[in-house]
Amino acid sequence: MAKVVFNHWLHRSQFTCRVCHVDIGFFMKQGETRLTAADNMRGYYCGACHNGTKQNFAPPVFKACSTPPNPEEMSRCDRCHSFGKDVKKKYEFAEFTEKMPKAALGNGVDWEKAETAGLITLQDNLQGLPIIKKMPIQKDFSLDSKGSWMGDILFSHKKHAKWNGCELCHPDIFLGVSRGATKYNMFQIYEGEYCGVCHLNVAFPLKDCAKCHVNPVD
Amino acid sequence: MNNDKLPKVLYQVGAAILVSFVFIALPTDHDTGISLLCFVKPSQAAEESWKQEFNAVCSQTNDSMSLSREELQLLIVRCEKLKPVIEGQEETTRKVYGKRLEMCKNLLVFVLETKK
Repeated sequence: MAKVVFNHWLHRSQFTCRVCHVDIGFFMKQGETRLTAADNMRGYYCGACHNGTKQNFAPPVFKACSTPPNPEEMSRCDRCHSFGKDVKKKYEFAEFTEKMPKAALGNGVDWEKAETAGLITLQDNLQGLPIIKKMPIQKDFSLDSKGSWMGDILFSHKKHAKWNGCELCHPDIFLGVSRGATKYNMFQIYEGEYCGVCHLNVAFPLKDCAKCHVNPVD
Repeated sequence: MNNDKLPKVLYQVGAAILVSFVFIALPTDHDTGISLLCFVKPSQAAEESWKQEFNAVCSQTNDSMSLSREELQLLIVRCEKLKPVIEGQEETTRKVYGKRLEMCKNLLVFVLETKK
C-alpha cells in the first residue's frame, strides 16, 4: 500500500482547525498521531468522516479502506494512498483555488480572506462529536512590537477563535492568563513555539510580516 | 375457583401487567415494535453513558469564559471523574478521548485562573 498524500489545503477549506485537531484528535505535528486503518474503520481519525455515510454536510464522504483491503476497493484506497502513483484526484489545487483571493507567500491563497468573503464555509461540528456551543465574539487587541523598525501587531482574537476554538491555543501554546503575561519573541516563534506552531507550517508564513505588524511605525 | 389459589393468580396477573408497562415505557423500534432494550448490552450502555458525560462537559469549552467560578470548578471535577473511565478503555479510545479530555480540562483550569 502506498503512503497517504494528505491534502491539508482541501480539508482546511471545509473545516475549522479545531474540529480535526481537537474533536477528532489529530496531533499538530506530522507523524505524531500514528493512526491505523483499523482506527479509521472504527470511526476514529479519518474514519470520523470517511465512512461512506452522509455527515451534516453533503455529499457523503468516501469510505476509508479496510484492513486488509478488499481487491474491489483498491481504487478507493488509491484516492488517499497515492504517493508515487498517477492518481486522478477529484479536487486539484489549481482548479479548486482558481477563484480564491491570492497571497504572495505560502501556498498562494489567502484563506482568511476566502473565508471572510464566503468562498469557503468551515464546518465546526461533526455528527457523533460534541456540539460545541457558539463562542461569544472575541475582541481583537494590539501587541507591542519589540523592534523599533516594525509596527505594532494587531492580533485578531476573533479570527483565531473562529478557526481554532479556545483549547487549541490555551493553555498549551499560550499559557499566560492575561494579555502580555506570556513573554515571547521572534526567535522563539521561528523555533516553532507560540505563533510559530501554525505560522511556520500551515497558516500564512512568518515572512509575511505585514499581515501581523499592521500598525504603522511611529 | 379455589379461594386459596386466588391471591397467587392475582400476583401473576399483576406481575404480567407490570412487565408490559415496563416494556411499553422503554424505547421501541417503531418499524419492528421490538423493545430496543433487547439490543443494548450493558457494556454498550456504559460506553454511551461516559460519552454523553464527556460531550456534556467538553462541549462547553467555547463558552467557558462566560461560566462562573463555581460552574468551572464543577466541570473540572466532572473531567477528573471521567479520567479513570477513559483510561480503562481500549488503546485508540484512550488516546483520542484522553487527549481531548486533557485539552478540555486544561482550558477550564486556565479560564478559572483568569477569573481569580
